[in-house]
Amino acid sequence: MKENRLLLIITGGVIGLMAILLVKLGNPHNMGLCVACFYRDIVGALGLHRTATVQYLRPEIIGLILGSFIMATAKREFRPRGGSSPIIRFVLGFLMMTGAMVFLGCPLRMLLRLGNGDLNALIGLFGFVGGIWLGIQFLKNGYSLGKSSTQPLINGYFMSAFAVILLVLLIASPTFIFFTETRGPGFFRAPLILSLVAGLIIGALAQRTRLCTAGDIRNTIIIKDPTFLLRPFGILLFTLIGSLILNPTSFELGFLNQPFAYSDHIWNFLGMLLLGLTSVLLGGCPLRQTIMAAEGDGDSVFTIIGMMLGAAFSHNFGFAASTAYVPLYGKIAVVAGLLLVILLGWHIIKYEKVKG
Amino acid sequence: MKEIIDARGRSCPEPLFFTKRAVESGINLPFIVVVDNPSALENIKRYLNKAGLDCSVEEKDREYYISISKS
Repeated sequence: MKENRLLLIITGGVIGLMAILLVKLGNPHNMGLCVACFYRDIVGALGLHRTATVQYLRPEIIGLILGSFIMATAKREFRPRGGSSPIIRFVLGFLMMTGAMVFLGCPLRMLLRLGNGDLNALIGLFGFVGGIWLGIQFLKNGYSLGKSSTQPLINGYFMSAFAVILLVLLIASPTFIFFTETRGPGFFRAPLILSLVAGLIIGALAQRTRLCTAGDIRNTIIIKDPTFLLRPFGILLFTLIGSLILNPTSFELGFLNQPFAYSDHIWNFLGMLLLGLTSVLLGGCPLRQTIMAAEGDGDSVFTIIGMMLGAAFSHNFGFAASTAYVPLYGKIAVVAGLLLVILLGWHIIKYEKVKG
Repeated sequence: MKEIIDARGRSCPEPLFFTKRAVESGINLPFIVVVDNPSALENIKRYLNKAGLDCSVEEKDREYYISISKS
């Protein structure tokens, strides 16, 4: 088991270091890799929202999808499947992204932020763990999204085809694609090819190791075995080491003046609470959903479509937080989202009980 | 006849919960859990290891038959 533990820390470490490297190469600070933020940038580039500071076809996401697809195919784990409550998954994906847009990041970015000294992410982590715990209570009481079944091969290719189309659009840059030209997160980009390669490596690695930021914490709570916390710990530790070596000037321990973050504890907490809860009810965090969608899981595809529209609406309707504060509509969206998820979970538990 | 729990097509961590519930409710050992995704298999193995149970896995057409017994 000793070797296994080392492997867990190394897996986390590779991802942490690559994220730091991506910042060094040009990605936004504390945002070397953020699955939620990068989908938001993609839908912005596609014109589905018009916030000019966050528009770019992030090659990291394209790489994640194709890396997972290639690895799954090579290991004979590519399996088209679906049909397990796609509508509910869409709604939960939408709300998962709403939480991420209020916190300003997915759970992976939360760890990257924390590794670089941003203590607001620690408040987020408390919320995330709380949401995961809440989700487990639903599962314990019989919550289920039902069975998926195998599907014709063509279904499984959707996500990879989407990634290829994004790559073509990125390279061709037709006039209907929006790229951030003013200073803002979307303006900071590592070179295309390096971002793509980093995405491919992380995608392949995440597919092999079933990396899931929510799953590691969830399993620790269910099985009561902390071994798997070594992986998020690896991300955190190597982000810290990498930051101190590569970007020492940007490292600052505290709550204030952190890159692309705000300091309002309630909303950092509640945003991540919603994210943690939806991650457990969906069977995986935004990264894991991306990896599974590329493996042929059509239910994860619906989750991601929900996430992408969630990002677009978060910006169009003014839910998304800025580096200064969370707007009123964002607060309403998070509270309403939490209530909706709880109601939905309760309804499913009742349905499952009647069904026996 | 060994009891068979069918957890195919279930999202994580449902297969793990099915297994845990069966063990905790005192199911007759050995019993079999069927899953169709590798991450569910790995989660269940980890749980069995912690619970002090043994298992052998047979793969048939990308479905995993986990036979669970006393160690």
